Amino acid sequence: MGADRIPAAIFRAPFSEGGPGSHALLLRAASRYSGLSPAALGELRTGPWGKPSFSQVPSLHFSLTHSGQWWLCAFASVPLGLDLQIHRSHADPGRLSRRFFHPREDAWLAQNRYRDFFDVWCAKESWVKYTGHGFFDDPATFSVVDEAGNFPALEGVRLRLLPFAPGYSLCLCAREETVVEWHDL
Amino acid sequence: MLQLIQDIIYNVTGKQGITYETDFVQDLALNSFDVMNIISAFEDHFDTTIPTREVWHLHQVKDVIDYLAQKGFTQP
Repeated sequence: MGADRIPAAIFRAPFSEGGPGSHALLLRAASRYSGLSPAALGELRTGPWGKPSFSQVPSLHFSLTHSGQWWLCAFASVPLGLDLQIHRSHADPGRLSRRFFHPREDAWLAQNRYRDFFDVWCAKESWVKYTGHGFFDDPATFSVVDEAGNFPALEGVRLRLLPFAPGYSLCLCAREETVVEWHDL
Repeated sequence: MLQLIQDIIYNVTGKQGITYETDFVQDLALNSFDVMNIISAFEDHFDTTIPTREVWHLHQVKDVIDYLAQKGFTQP
């Protein structure tokens, strides 16, 4: 591992109705990652744009996501954004891309008949989770495809598409280069 | 209007049992992709554009109904 690579721990758990809720899973994962009890983590609070943090450990950076049958949460010593998305067969990628994506992203996707739509979606959402703004920022105002046609690419951050289960896209966004460790809850 | 919202959410997410008090995140576990799909469906139905920044304040079904009424959208 290079000296400039930041460890990022990603916890994963099955997610379904009747199972532990997202809040309970977050507390469990945060305790395991930090070694602190849920009480020591403090209250879960949200920033002005909705990004959550623990009141007693504001330096504990995390980003959670859920889609389909999975719940994931990434932890690191630096800000990061994580997004998972199941590939929904009934979605119309072309329509959604034209409506919500940057024109450069839409043109890039159209070249391959929107085959990589969900990868682009995850890359964009991992960025807005990294910034903490969510989609309060119009998603069409920034592009994860650069002017040379490279994807994923966004100035100032590293977007990493991570392999996960078949039929899912997953992307991790951070300013630093990361090395990922997986943990099952 | 409730019936329209129930239909759209069912068509987009397969979720049923929607009431005025249903919370999109807490009760339906919707994520941003689901929400964007729902926005797109509403836009198609009302032939309009809904700014994405406006929808993140809408937590429950009744919030959506109030929002649509404020914008002058009524069910045809």
